Amino acid sequence: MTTLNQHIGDVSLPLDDASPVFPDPALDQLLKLFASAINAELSDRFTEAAAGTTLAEKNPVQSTLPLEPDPRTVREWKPGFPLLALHRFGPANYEEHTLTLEKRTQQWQLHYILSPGDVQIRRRLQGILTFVPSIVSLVIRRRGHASFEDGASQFGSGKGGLAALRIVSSEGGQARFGDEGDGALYLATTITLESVEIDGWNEGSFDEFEGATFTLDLLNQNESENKIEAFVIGDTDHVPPPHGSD
Amino acid sequence: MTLADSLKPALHAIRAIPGQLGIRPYTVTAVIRRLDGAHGLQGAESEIQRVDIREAGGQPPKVRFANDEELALGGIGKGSITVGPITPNFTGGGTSFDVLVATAAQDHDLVHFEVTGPQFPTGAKFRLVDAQSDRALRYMLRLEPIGAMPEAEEENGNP
Repeated sequence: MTTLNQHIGDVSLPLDDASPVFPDPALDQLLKLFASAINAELSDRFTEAAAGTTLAEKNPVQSTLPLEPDPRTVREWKPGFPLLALHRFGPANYEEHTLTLEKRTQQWQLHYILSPGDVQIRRRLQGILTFVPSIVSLVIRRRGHASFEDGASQFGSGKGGLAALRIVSSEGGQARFGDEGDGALYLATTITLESVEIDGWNEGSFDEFEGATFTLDLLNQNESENKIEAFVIGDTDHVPPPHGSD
Repeated sequence: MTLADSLKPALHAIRAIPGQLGIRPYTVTAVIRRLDGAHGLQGAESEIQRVDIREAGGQPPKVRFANDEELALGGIGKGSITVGPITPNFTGGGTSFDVLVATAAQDHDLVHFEVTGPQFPTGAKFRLVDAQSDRALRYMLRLEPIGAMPEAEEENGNP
């Protein structure tokens, strides 16, 4: 065997050869979940509020981005606004969860970028920057949303592999996503999340342990022919005789 | 017809002269690609538009690398280039500004410029930083590098 045959969260080794990218199942799952929930909760009101603006006929989440929305990215990839972007952020902390399991604590940033600053959009839609963190907070607390995967409970194995997820903070308003403040002004909110992922062994990575018998011989170092065989016997399946029997 | 309209064909021809003399070693192509995934940056890629930026007779435009002063003061990345002057479109030639700023790109499309020349014999990808259209007789582009494009596989496996 040349692989670790272990996983941390839903990131499992060996990797699935069929995928052309290095997977981040938690990121993909969270992005889809939050986009679905925000669209389901805010679609109707967004349509009314955005009528006559440059966001008319757009969804509350028009496009998603599994990367940090920095200027270089949006110069290559044309986003649709409003944009929902999610990425891991800052250092990940590793510590013992049990003697044999390790856990990783990681912060994330979820960006909801409404639009480049248009005063009409600001007047009508700026309030959505408060609704989005509230929806995210409630979705995390309920571990899912009815609009996504028929309301299936999220975050566990196969659903991102997160042992825990919480919202840490949010900050909304006008923001620049440019180098040293020279970028365009956007209406946006940034939500900081924190997750916990725990490692483990992949199912089937080891044969099932049924039992073992240990036999120790006692051997005199200088007299190789003089030994006591089976001086100690240990048996995991040994059933001691009833008390008082021979 | 305005004076600018009258001058564009002449400028288009004049700007081709350095290329005819072989002193425009770089070519620039605007490319739009589309990913068909449901979410950003996912799915199979297909080419939507590929337009060579050319002056008269298919000659390449002027490409200039940013100098040290521009790099230091302009806050731009090393390897950034300026492309132009590019003759605006007119009846019979020129380049549309829509091509330069990828107006045809839809949400989720990838927009790149491919530059080929002595420093990038197999081509290099650039992203658009700035497109200037405030002069009637020329457009200018500022591009910053992304990276070299992979070498094309040789036929029959020969190195």
